[in-house]
Amino acid sequence: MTMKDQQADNISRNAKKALDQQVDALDSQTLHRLRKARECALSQKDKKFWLSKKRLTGAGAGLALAGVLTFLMVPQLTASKLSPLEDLEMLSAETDMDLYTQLDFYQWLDESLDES
Amino acid sequence: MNTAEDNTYENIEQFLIHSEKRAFIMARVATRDEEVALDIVQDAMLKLVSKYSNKNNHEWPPLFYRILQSRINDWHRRQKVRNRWRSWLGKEAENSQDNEFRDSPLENKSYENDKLPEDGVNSLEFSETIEVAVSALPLRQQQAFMLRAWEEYNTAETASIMGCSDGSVKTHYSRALAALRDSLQDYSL
Repeated sequence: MTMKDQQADNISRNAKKALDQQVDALDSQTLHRLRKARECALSQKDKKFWLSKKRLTGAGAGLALAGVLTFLMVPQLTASKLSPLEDLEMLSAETDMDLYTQLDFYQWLDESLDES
Repeated sequence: MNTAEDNTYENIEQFLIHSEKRAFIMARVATRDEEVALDIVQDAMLKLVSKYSNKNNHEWPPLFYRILQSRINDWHRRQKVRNRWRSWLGKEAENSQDNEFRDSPLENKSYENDKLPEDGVNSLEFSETIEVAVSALPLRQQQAFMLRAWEEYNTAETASIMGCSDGSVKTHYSRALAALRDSLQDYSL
């Protein structure tokens, strides 16, 4: 190690020690104010936590509402799957309306005939 | 990997308890004003908690010092503009930053004409002298010195905190050491 390096090392070491001493020598008023500043900063974390909790609750409530709405809307949506034109076509068809009202029966009949 | 325990309230509180005093000394050295230093430290703590508390706790120290240095830089920039306005408005040169330093309580502990204290480099007086000497360095040299010598960050970490290249850190640091060697020569370090 050169003398210059040795000197630089000494300066760094002494400065480190000196600055540590300055930390230890801080007066009570400064320490009190630093504590207040820290508490103020940390209250932001609390606030953030509660905000995120609120946000989660809000999102949950939103999802629940969307679920309820979907549940209520689905029958209407399926019911309205047929367009008015198709409804009209069925009504105006010459086929007997029995075919539509007893569709299950005709389906069973069809399957029984297939089996035999 | 970020675990739930890493960024709990207690962890970040412990980190701030450990760092706040050192940050305050850094800000005081950089601004030569205790009130401003307290504001800067509070700002840095607020920013860390509100923006980065979800990060891993080993990421907090460099982030915190980056925020702190950035706040100090902002303050110096504002001071420069303020001083320019003052000089345009015809104020005397005594309002310049250098002379503010002369009026500051720290300046009363002028290192230039100090005699070597009885208990040498271990005394509080000497530590105040060091603080004044570091305060007198240009801001970037001061930051490089504080982060390298005091916080013991390596060159790359210091560069990341200061937002500059490794080469710049090396230059600032070696100039800081040279300046301190000159100003503390009476102490035969």
